[in-house]
Amino acid sequence: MDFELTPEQKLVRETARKFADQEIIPVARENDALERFPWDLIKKMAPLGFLGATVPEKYGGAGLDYISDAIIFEEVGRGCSSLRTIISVQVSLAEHTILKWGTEEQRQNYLPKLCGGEYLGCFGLTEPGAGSDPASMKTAAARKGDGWVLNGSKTWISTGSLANVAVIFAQADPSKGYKGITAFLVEKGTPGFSSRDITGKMGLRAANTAQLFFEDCFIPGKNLVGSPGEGLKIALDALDNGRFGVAAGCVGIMQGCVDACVKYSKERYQFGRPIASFQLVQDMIARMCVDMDAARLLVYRAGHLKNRGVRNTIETSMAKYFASEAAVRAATDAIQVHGGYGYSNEYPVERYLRDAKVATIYEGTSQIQKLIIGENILGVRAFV
Amino acid sequence: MIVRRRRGILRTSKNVDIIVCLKRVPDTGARVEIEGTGVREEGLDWVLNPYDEFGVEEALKIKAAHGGKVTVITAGAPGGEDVLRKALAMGVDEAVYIKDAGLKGADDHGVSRVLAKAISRTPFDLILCGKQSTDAQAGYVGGALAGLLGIPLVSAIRELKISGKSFEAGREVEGGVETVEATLPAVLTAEKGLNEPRYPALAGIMRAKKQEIKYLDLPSLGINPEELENPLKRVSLTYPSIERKGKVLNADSGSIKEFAGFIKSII
Ligand SMILES: Cc1cc2nc3c(=O)[nH]c(=O)nc-3n(C[C@H](O)[C@H](O)[C@H](O)COP(=O)(O)OP(=O)(O)OC[C@H]3O[C@@H](n4cnc5c(N)ncnc54)[C@H](O)[C@@H]3O)c2cc1C
Ligand SMILES: Cc1cc2nc3c(=O)[nH]c(=O)nc-3n(C[C@H](O)[C@H](O)[C@H](O)COP(=O)(O)OP(=O)(O)OC[C@H]3O[C@@H](n4cnc5c(N)ncnc54)[C@H](O)[C@@H]3O)c2cc1C
Repeated sequence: MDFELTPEQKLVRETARKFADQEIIPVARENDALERFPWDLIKKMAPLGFLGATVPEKYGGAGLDYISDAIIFEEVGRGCSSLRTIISVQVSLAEHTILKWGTEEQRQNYLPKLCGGEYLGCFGLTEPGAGSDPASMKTAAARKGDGWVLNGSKTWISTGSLANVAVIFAQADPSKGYKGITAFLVEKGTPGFSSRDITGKMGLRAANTAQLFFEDCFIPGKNLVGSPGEGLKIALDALDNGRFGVAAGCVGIMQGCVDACVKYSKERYQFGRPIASFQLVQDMIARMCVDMDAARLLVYRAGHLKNRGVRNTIETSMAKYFASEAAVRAATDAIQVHGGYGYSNEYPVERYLRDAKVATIYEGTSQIQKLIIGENILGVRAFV
Repeated sequence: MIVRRRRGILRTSKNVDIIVCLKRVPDTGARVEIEGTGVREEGLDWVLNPYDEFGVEEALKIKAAHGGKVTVITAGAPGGEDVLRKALAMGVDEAVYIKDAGLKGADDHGVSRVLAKAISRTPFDLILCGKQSTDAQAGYVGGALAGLLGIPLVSAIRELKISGKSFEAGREVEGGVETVEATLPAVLTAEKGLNEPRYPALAGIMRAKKQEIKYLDLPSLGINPEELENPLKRVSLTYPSIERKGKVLNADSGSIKEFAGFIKSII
């Protein structure tokens, strides 16, 4: 076992860290307050390769390993979780689905554009009536000629209104239950496809989240992803990637909390001493540090398995569950350490809390992660 | 057309071939522990000397504008690969590592001699160094290289314009900017503000991983390690003494004016 990063991973960290410090952090508060989508940051990230880190070079990616991937998500997450969510969806959900399940034509058509930032991607699984239980989705796909016709709606879709290409899951054969679910690529502007922004979110305010509508929306046969009926398998496989990035992003939130608390607690004097000298304050910061390290190590373990091509659903679930809950604890305590000032957006810690919370919900709630882990250890499935 | 160029021979190409000297230094955020007359090296985070990074960036900008080849070179005991890989990831063409245990005890002059020897074997138009390293801060190597190679030195530059064989460099001096003009070949040392170094892109990092580093050692340069004896000897190394001087302002004893003056002096 080797806990050292490789020279390349150290360089990736240096680049990602500098980018977060110099480009992301200075605008994160304002983008959050104004609910402003970080277009300019996405434009700047594309040439650096952040929009396709783990995609092979021949499709326009950087061909990096998953520890490097985690490092990028962590650093971007330390800066701004909205941006981290955008690249999670872009890389882990959209690009990796096309890479693994798409046809060669689809890969060549979409991956260079997505990695290069010319296209944005989204991933539409959740529906108004189907969240934790995606198998119960109602969006229907009916065969027509050499293609399919979609009818139904999706909700809570990150980057939904902006994406040039959407990975959409629909029920193509209700008689087969979850084995009827099928995946498609839907291009923005396809007749019958529309979207509506969801506003008033607690966090991720700089990211776009939308409802998607399909009304007799014709999808050519060449836009089928994988085989008919393979959709749920594809979705769950994609979530193994997505959760990894979410977990790493939460490690970044925790690092942001620790950094902010260390600085503030040494500068803030009460009772004639820096508050860093009070045991109860040290208790909060110490717990935060241990949680952060534990989460980072869980992420690296999952990344190590991904690098080796070993199945890692459980390890990734553990990392995502632990890191997201720990990030909420860390951000809550970080506000506490900052006292009244932590309650204002003068400091980043209140944003960390709002942004950490969603990580316990999306890409499978903490409860769902525990059920995945529980089933693995008990051999009894708590849900169908 | 490939034009072979040598120093002193009229060039027919406007390409500028550049050599950038690199040093590995402890990260400035690192907690340094003194051990004898040196610092404890284990557990330190090492980075490319920030002033050398300005040199690399400048070289890449010159290459983009004028063409030419950028070679980075470092001399030392272990660990130099990291800074060379970083420069390769930023986009330089070649990396040379003079790796030799005999360099462990060499001082700035010894290192300069070794670098000069290696550099004199390659055709070049320009040598870029950092104005100093952030660890020892001697600011020695750039000047020594110019002396050993018999070419001009312009130190601590903040601006640079190259046209053909001549260049104009701006140096910050007390209260203003001094502009000097000279011809290539020359040694320039980079000051903060010369440029904003680029971040290595992920593709560059992956490319650098595959690029070969060219290794040299003292015997291959015809240098006997014993010749590198230090003429200078470090007698001691101590931590800076921290002096905390408080000033008590007493409402009764001073005038408002004195108080205001003091506040003004510190803000
Ligand atoms: C900001 C944001 C962005 C999102 N982005 C995307 C996206 O890009 N693509 C996409 O497809 N979806 C996206 N989602 C949707 C997200 O994945 C769902 O919100 C999530 O899966 C939960 O589904 P739900 O909201 O319908 O909650 P529900 O499934 O209704 O769950 C409500 C509560 O019940 C609990 N629960 C449900 N079932 C069980 C059970 N069997 N046992 C125990 N507890 C249970 C849950 O844990 C939760 O606490 C996003 C959500 C948000 C908030
Ligand atoms: C929305 C809002 C409304 C408010 N309204 C009012 C109001 O109407 N009137 C009013 O007077 N004030 C008001 N306050 C101020 C509030 O009472 C203070 O924020 C609170 O007393 C904490 O003080 P502080 O923010 O300076 O934090 P600090 O005192 O700096 O505390 C920072 C951290 O250090 C910890 N700490 C401090 N000392 C110790 C110690 N000895 N041992 C262990 N830990 C310690 C604290 O618990 C906290 O975690 C308001 C604050 C907010 C956010």
